[in-house]
Amino acid sequence: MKSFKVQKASMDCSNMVLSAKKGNLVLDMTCEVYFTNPTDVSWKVTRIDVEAHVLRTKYTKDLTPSYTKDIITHTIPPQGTGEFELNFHDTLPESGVLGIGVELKDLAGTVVPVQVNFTVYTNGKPYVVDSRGNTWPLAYSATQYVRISVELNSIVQHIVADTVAGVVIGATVGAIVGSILPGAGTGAGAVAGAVIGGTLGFIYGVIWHGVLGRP
Amino acid sequence: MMKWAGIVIYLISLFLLYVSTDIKVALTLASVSLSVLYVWVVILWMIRRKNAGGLPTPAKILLLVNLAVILVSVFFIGAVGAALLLVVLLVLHGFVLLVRYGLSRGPVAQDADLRLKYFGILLLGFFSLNPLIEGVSTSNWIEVSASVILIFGGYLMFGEVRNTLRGN
Repeated sequence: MKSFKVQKASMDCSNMVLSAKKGNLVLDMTCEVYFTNPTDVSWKVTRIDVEAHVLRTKYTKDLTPSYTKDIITHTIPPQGTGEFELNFHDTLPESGVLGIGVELKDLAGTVVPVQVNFTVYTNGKPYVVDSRGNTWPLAYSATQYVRISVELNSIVQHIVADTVAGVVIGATVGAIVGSILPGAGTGAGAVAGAVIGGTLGFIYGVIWHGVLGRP
Repeated sequence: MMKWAGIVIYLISLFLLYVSTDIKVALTLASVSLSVLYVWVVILWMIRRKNAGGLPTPAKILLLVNLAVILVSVFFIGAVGAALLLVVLLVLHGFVLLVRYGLSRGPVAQDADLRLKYFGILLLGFFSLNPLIEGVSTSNWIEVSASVILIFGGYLMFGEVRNTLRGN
């Protein structure tokens, strides 16, 4: 009987791409995971149970993004290599990804560890017995460092466009308010109101998009 | 019973905002709407009794509650956010200065009361616009209703204050 040692697997991942969508972050990444068959018998892979997450760093929080998996090698000869693919795709709130005091633009180029633990099932069992009667548990683990790439433009444009809209709406409301205010209901009142409203629109835009991080 | 309808509806809208989004949005909307209500009541009071000193009690209450909300916001939104909420109150105060200037130039307009009604509704509507748009674009209908109810609740509260001041 072999000891229940987790075997090492290897992994090859694309960049972890973060882009903005309505104030949330969309995460995309693909990983190819490879594992070996150290036994002298052939395996028929019936199922693979995967647990994957992005480990916490100084910049990012612990993430368990959702993914789909695709088993590529179904039969693995003795001493052969098996392969499956993980496609990560998830929408996460910005506050759920970034560490304290980190801005999204700081993330570009940083490297985060992605860890994948998995168990291979052959003929429905998480172990195999080789020709000498030895039992091999099929638990594997792989860790890979992944570079983050950030699609910043979409985020910056988003905030700027909405803040400008806020200023315009604020100035309009201010102008209306200034012109209907008792005692100030004049053209000059409207201009002063537009200035006040525009200022409000700008500050409110900063609070809403910048501070609260809302869409 | 009617006296509390405005406050109850206002609180319900804030609660719905909290449920449909988060505490930060609810606190922000609470603070900016209280700032509008405060300035609204102060202007009302200015055109009613322009020579009397001191603020009316409703305005004092609105100001104190608003400052308390801003203080609480420090813990939930952060110091920068809370400071900006304070700036919103100060900028809105510009409308008070505008009215003061207007009143120094001439008498109160005949339909001042009617005009003042739109003042707060427009400003509350402006601040409610962001959650409204967000709610529509994400099909978050609770958030949409909350932003509309907020304007209604604020207006009812103002109406109640107006009735009280008329009594004096």
